[in-house]
Amino acid sequence: MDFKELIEKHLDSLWFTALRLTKNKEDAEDLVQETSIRAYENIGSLRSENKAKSWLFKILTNTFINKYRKSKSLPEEVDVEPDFLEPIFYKNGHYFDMEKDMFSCVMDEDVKNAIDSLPIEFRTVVLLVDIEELSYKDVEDILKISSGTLASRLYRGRRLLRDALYEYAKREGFLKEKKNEV
Amino acid sequence: MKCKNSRKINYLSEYPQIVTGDMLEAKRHVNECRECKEFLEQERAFASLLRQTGIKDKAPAGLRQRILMATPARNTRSKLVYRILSAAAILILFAGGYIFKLHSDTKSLIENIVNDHISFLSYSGIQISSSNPDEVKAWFGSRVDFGVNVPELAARLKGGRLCLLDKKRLALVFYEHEGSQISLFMTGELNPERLLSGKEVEIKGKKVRIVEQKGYNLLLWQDRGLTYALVSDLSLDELKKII
Repeated sequence: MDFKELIEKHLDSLWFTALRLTKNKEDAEDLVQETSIRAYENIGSLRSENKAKSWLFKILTNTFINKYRKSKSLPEEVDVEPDFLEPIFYKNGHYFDMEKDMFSCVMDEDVKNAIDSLPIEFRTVVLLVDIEELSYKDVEDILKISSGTLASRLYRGRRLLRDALYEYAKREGFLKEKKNEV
Repeated sequence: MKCKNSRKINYLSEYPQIVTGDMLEAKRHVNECRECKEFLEQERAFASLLRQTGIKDKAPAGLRQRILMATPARNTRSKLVYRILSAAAILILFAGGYIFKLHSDTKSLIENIVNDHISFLSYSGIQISSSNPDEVKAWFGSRVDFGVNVPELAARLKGGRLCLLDKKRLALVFYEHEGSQISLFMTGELNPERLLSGKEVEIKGKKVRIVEQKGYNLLLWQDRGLTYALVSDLSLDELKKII
């Protein structure tokens, strides 16, 4: 595959993730450009085209982290292990229908804003695992974290995202107050 | 096994590389515990609903164009082919001798610079748009591994952008003079022998090599650790006045 084809194939994904990480278009453009230049310069380190997507996301994530670490604006990451037992909305099999309702009534912009509202360490794993569908193994490798840390962050990230989406849906008046109907 | 441990173990272990005793026990627990089963189904459903939202935007057309312009075509497919080609290239270089190598290096350098200039005529892809040399210089600051100098030419400074040449990141500064675009490529010091092309003239105390390629004039010179290549369709006499 030609390098241009490779970049073009993943450009929209890189752009979306960059925009969610940086939260502004100018920085996102810089980040994607920097990523593509680094990818071009290091194409020799790509072992297989099947790994191209995770390889590009590794470059993007590293570039983002290095840039923010340099400017010292990246908050320190503190991982607290969750108990995996927090109730979501209510129990006994009703969650799914309610979430379907919730997703059907929030706007795309609300979902983006909800993702943007997550602390960076949770936002990153939700983007890589749930949006980009990278494997857990790839994400552990990209972020250099253990599977336990990935599980904790993904769990917390999804919880926070649910809460944010729930608030948007409620604000829009589409969803009645159900959260406490346990 | 308690629900907490079971959920924790099962959370990321849908397709485990190694199946441990704990994992088997956790799976057994989930099969027997309705709440844990619902919990895991819920997690999968949430991820799936999130993917179905279609929230992904397309990358802006300008960004797409800039990236594709800045990355010359290059094959990623077969490293073996690359290695064979590289080995063959080395053999050819040895066989052909040092002079041939220098000649082809210089030729490809000049060709690439002129081709880039032509590409950026139709689409400048300016990344920093400014007529202030300090602002342009500052923009390049952390983006290239050499100190950029934005010379004050007798032409209007438009801005600059990054470009790639021989896998190296270069600074490219755009000027305009009487409707003609001037592209000034800049990089760190190159082997001076790579610049041995065309005829040498002296302009304002600088030793400059002048080459004509595809109807464009290209001026090459080195100064204080930097290598400059200036390309334009302006005549040599006009260019001599400008630099």
